[in-house]
Amino acid sequence: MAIAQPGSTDPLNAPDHALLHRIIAADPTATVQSLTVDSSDNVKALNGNFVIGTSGKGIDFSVDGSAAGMTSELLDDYEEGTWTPVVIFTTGGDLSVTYSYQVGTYQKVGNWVIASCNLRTTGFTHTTASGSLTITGFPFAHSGTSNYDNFSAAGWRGITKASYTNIGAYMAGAESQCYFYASGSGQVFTDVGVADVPTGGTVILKFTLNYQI
Amino acid sequence: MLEKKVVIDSIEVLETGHIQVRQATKIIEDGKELSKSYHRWVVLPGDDYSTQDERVKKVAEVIHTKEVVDTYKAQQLENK
Repeated sequence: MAIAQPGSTDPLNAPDHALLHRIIAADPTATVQSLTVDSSDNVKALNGNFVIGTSGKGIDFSVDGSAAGMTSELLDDYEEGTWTPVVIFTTGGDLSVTYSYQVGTYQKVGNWVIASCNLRTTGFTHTTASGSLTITGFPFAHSGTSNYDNFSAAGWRGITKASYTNIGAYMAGAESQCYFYASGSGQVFTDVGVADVPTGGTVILKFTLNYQI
Repeated sequence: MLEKKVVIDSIEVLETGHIQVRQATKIIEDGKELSKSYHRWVVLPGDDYSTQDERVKKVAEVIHTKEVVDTYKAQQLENK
């Protein structure tokens, strides 16, 4: 069944006209089909996109069974783009950083953000900076939920922390910047601080952090 | 004629005082948009917003009160 017949001046000439009373063709003289429903009841947009016309509306999956703890079955947003990761310490002091590349990309699916960071410094010097190694510039703020940090593994260079073997990026509630936790067998979880990232080194940080907004 | 347009197309203020900014880069040919890409960032309470877009600056001037900044800083400490 074609909802809008090619060349038709009446876009509503399908058999079940009454069910389609809200479909209005933008161009009734169009000579190609725009929207079809096939014999399996699949709806196809042949030439364009399905465009959600109202913010907060989307695709409702509530017909499917729900898992315990379910809070929403509406997929109401998707977006992709870029962001610019920037290396700082909690207190920047005289920190000076130049980059050979600093690339950030993101996808937002519903209320989750997938943010990738890929950077390498060409210059990295500091004498008066203090605090934790931090990446700023994230595209969205983490939700304000307390005790709900999001972690990811990270690849790195330029960090020296004796007895620690793993470093991961984490973002806490209401933040839009991430810090780095170091961990190792028998070691206490601890932030990567200014003393662990020596001046004059080359810093490389690569990770993909998923977080809720 | 091809035209490149860079605009701030979304300024969103969260309850926490974070200002989420979206910049759209559009490639337009004869009035028809051929492509659009997004770049995003967040202006945090307490951030220096002097280099931001004029509209973002005006929003930050209103939103980033001392109380909002102090609450955010306290939340940061709590996260540690």
